[in-house]
Amino acid sequence: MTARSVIGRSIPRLDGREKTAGLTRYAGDLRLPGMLHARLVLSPHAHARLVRIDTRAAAASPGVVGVFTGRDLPLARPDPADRGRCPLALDRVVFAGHPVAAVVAETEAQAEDAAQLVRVEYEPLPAAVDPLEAMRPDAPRVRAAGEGGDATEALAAHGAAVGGEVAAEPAAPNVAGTTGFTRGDVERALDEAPVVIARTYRTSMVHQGYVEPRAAVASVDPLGGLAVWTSTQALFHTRSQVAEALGLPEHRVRVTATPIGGGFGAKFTLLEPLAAALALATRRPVSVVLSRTEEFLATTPAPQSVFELRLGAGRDGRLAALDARIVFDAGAWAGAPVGIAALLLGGYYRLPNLRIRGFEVLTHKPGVGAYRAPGAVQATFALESAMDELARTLGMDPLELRLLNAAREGDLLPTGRPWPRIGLVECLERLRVERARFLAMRPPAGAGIRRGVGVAVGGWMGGIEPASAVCRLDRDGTLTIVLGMVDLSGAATGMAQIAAEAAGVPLEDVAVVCGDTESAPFAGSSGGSKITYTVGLAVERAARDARRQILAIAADRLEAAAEDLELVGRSVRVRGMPDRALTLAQLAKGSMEFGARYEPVFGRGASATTARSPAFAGHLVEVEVDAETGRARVARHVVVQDVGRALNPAAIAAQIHGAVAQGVGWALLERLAYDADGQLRSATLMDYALPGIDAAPATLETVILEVPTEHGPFGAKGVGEPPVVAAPAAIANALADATGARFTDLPITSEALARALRAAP
Amino acid sequence: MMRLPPFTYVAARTLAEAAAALAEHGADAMLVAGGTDLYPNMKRRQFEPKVLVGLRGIRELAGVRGSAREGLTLGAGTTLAAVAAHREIVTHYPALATAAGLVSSPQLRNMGTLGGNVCVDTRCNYYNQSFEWRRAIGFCMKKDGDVCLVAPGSPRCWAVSSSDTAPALVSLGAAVRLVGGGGERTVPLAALYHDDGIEYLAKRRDEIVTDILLPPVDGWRSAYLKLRRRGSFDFPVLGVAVAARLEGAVVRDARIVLGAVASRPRLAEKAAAALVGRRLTPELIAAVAELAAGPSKPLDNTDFTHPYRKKVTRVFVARALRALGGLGDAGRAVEAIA
Ligand SMILES: Cc1cc2nc3c(=O)[nH]c(=O)nc-3n(C[C@H](O)[C@H](O)[C@H](O)COP(=O)(O)OP(=O)(O)OC[C@H]3O[C@@H](n4cnc5c(N)ncnc54)[C@H](O)[C@@H]3O)c2cc1C
Repeated sequence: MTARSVIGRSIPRLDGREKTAGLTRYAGDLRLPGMLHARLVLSPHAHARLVRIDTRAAAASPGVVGVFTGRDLPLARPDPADRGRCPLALDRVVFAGHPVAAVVAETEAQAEDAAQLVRVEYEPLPAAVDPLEAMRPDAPRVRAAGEGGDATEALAAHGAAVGGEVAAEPAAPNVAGTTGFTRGDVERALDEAPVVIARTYRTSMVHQGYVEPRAAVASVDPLGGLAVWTSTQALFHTRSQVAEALGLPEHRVRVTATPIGGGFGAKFTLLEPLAAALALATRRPVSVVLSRTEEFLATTPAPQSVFELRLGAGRDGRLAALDARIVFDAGAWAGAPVGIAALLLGGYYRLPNLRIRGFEVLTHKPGVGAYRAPGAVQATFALESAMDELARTLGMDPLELRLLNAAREGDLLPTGRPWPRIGLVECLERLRVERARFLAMRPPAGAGIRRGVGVAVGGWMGGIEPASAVCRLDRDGTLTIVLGMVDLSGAATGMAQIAAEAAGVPLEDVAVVCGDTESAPFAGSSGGSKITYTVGLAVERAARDARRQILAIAADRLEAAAEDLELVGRSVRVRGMPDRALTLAQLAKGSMEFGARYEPVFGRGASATTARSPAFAGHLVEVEVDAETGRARVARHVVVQDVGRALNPAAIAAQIHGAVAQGVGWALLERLAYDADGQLRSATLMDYALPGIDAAPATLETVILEVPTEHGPFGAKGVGEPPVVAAPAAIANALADATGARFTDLPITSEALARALRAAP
Repeated sequence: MMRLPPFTYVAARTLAEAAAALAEHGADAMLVAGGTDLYPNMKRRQFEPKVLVGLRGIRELAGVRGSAREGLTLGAGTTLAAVAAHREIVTHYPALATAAGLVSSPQLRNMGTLGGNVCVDTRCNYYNQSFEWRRAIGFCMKKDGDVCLVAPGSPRCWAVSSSDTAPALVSLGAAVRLVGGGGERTVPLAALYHDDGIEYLAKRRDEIVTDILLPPVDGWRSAYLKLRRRGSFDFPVLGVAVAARLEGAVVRDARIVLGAVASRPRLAEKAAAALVGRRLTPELIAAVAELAAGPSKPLDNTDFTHPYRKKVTRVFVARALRALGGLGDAGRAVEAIA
């Protein structure tokens, strides 16, 4: 890299100013001529037969253009087992919040008023709400026999779908999928192990909590082509889903990803087929924007989980065996990340014996979706809690215990495949250094306050998906990169850095355009921490290709060999002869004007790497707990993250900050609380305790480690997912240190802490 | 969310106009000040008034008059933000400034008024839900139904008084001035409330709260502590207001008031009486905290369980007393981990 390299420099987000100034226009801000607004009618029952829907009063309400049930939508083959193809319930509703009708009117207010007039007659049926009870033989069935159905695409896109054996346990009702791994003889190893930690851990269903609710606008052109503008992470996937739902060829559907106000894995496809169907039915543009309560009731939250673990070790701390039974509550459609949970659970540490059985169970709750490191957060909470307790039981330093057992390059994953080079040990070693400093600076214990320090580590396999990019030299000598990705987290800024570096032009001369499905080169969905890793490679190659073309034109015009040329500032010149030079603008014009003799510069790049670059992050947390009320806060938090190569340290720090805030939510506050009938009791931000800024750690430090990978652009790995993975576990471990009690259920409320403090000495 | 139901808005310019509008429309009319409580409730169809009489344009309701020496008069239209920042209140009536400053979020404190806060609707897990949710569960007696879903078989509604300022004001011995068709009256604020989740206000429909009157400070000290899940935004699931007049270490007079444990601010009279004439020692504080938690009989119809709220009642009463007595670190007056 040259001295003025832009790789490794902290660059403010290209879209930072427009966002903070409130200038960004989101899907919900879109106003097309003649646009209509849709409001949904949601089921109040978790499980019921739809007897009758009377839409007459609603249809007669002022401004109403149409009232649609599942039977009225122009869909190709609506299949209740596939939510994407069946956006409105057909015969049965399977969760409280399941949309049963859509009212389309001239204004949103008219649609809302008319939606209240839709009369739906239900025959309530018993509901399976708790995932463990849903596995009992007499449990109400979510999916009738013969109905398939799953929603694993978003998970696959996150790199969360992994192979595994089918768990050998008699098929229970509502089990939509199983996974399993075995190695060695677990029972014997556990029998012989002098120390065994046996616990059941539970995490709650939580919502991804993005600021911008889901929104989609669809419009039909006079020839019947569909255009969809939507808040999605998954551009091409959404096009396929819409095309499939409506029975159209993909080229008749154009999807534009509008700027996205957060997604965290949730925003794949949900409203788009409905918006498209309503636009087709009314022949006018239709906008569908969810309210916050609809977000909580009717979208794709992260699953609740149960982990029954037995972790055995020798007196020296060497792990002997792990036995685990994992149950993920998938909600009404399959797609819970039980595979990734099983893989990571048995992957962080060297385990001579392991047996992991994972079950994905359907319940009468909304079908779950991905949420930043799906499955990994839950698995890591369970495993890292058990590791912490094991260290305590053995009287060992929890970091040393982890270092003793940590997987290194070549150690086997539960699948039997070896880990590539990973930074797990590096993270732990750096945590040891940070902890010494951290403990030296411990504030004095205040009266009535318990303090505790905890550590945890966790990782993410890293997603992969083929990607392509193109790079055009414009007439003023600047570069435009055209991509089919969604800029979910500032990735476009990284793309500009990569392109500037690879092409050899100033960063400010690079524009990144995220195009629509009609014009953009293919890229995978923005999930699984794979965009910089895969699209970045394509961009690097496209920019290098453009540079090669630029130099070829210059070589011809300057009558020099391409190898003798250099690109300096905004010019190409012959090395050692600064006056034999042409500016990029001159070169561009010579390829982009009437009668010009050079081909326009158009760089192309693509990648289809199948090598993953797993990335780890370690957390060191100090909590303060009010000894009487149990109120807790994270006082200090250090995150050590291996990023391969830090393309933009400021952007990485921002990812870590957000991850820690989400970790606090997981650990202390957030829970979608369902009652025994499957009614959501926390369907507003008043009742659903999303953390505010006051809940964020008082001090938060980020430490970036670089354990390079040969696969990512300039050695970079995905950075989005890893920092959240172990955050809740570290907080839970710190709380255990503060109180002397173990916490096995998330969130850990002040009430639970007060109870533990009362019980403990 | 459903939209506001249709209504007629009367923008009153004077108290007389507002009173006349209330008299004219009777049970169909409601007052609205900042609207931060009423409008969301109307969207959920917890109230469906045909006429809203807006108080925001009434000059007489705005502002704080007087001094701590002679007593303060706070117009009902004073915003919570103004109350929380008012010098005289912050210095001499800290329980009130703290309580006002802990209501919800800055945006709501800029809109919400003191009058609206003392009249704020009672709350319950089964009531503060969307219309569709309540319809699915079956409506409760507070609105549209005839049973109590928290205590089935109960003849009364147990929704919880959730005002932050009400317990603080009661502890300070505040009075309230009401103006209505029948003229004007001033009553102790404690007399404004009934222990009933539906009929929680002991005032006639046509009466308007015009002022809150704080007595001369006269050596009283006060503190307010609030329990809620998050550090902002959330309604109290317990409020503890303690005011006391001390001579040296001896308590001459005291009031302890609990919020969010009943349908009205609840005076812990026995606990307060146990303080009078005695030195504020750690032993006395512990005993009084125990006594104060006695009458606290919360039901499980708010966030957190009843035993926990009861436990924290003891903790908060003790903390407030320690703060007033200058015992221990007064910095913990609010909460150790705020
Ligand atoms: C998200 C959220 C969080 C909240 N958190 C809190 C909290 O933590 N603590 C808390 O105490 N409150 C909270 N509130 C409730 C509310 O914001 C406050 O209580 C506020 O002070 C109400 O004042 P207002 O002027 O907006 O009242 P309005 O909404 O205008 O009126 C409320 C009630 O008082 C009546 N009223 C208003 N003024 C008068 C008057 N002068 N005379 C007679 N009756 C009158 C109205 O008729 C109505 O019944 C919260 C509200 C929301 C939406």
